[in-house]
Amino acid sequence: MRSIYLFISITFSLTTLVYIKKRVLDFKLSMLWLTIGISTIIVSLLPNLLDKIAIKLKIAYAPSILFLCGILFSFTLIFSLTLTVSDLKKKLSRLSQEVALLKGEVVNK
Amino acid sequence: MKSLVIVPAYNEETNIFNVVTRIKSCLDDVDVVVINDGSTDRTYAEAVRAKAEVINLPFNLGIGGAVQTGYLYALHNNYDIAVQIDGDGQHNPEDLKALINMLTAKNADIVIGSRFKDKGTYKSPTMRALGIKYFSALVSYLCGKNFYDTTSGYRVINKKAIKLFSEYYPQDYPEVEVILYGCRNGLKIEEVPVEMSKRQAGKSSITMLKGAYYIIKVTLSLLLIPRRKEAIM
Repeated sequence: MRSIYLFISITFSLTTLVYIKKRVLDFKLSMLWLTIGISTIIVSLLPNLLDKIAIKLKIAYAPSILFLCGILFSFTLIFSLTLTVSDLKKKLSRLSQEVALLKGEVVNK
Repeated sequence: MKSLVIVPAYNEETNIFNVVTRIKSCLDDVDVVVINDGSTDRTYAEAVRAKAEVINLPFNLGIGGAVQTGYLYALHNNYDIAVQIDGDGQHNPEDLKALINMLTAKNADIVIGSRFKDKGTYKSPTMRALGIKYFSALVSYLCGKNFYDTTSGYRVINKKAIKLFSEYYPQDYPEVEVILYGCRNGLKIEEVPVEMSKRQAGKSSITMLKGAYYIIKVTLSLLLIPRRKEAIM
């Protein structure tokens, strides 16, 4: 079972790296995915790690740490995506305004 | 003084010709630019027929984006005064002179054509009237000065305001927010009573369903406007 987890984690991390190399994925955003990939590799290599953290954090059910991390990660990702979309929307709007003005200038010449 | 009349228009083929020709007959020394906000009907052809300059946005940006395009045009072409007038024929171009005179006489940066100051026979539907009263009260409180018609899209602004709004202009439902934004940035805003008629044709962009969203969105954006001044270049 552990080797399956490890295989999935490594495949995931490698895919992320391939996309970064191909420049398909923006490096800033891909940092988040890389972090996740590496963390899952570590967790699948050291299964006791989760239990130790759970004891330290006084969490009774160790796997719930995974859920917590997953939810926090999702929130961070969604938030950073919203920021990116807002920024893109603003830039797109300004770009279309400038294009329209330039087109007007060209037509009227 | 070089003046520009900005007419944002989205699917206004039935009104735009009349609006532009009426503006031109009221004031002969102004340029008229129609911002065709991604219309899917014959707005462009009708505006050209009325001999207006037309800027075609590649897609619909919404009223804020369209008006800001007009301000950018005014900035690029070095206009001293920019007038914003709706493309649906609600605003009477005969009031334009009074608005522009007020701008120079009172040394104001923005003059708003107000339906409710002093006179005005305009009757808005009851729900809308409530909303308008609410925003007048809120904006008056936040600005520390009385404003009677915060939702009017009939405005005259000077160069200082053109520069400011070219940098930032709210994209949706901008009218109310712009007043407070102007106040916070040290602009002097005046109101002039004007007459407004009901829409000549077509539909208003604000339906009952959008009303609730309008009130919440505008209230939030009013409360979240930064207190500091933004640098005007």
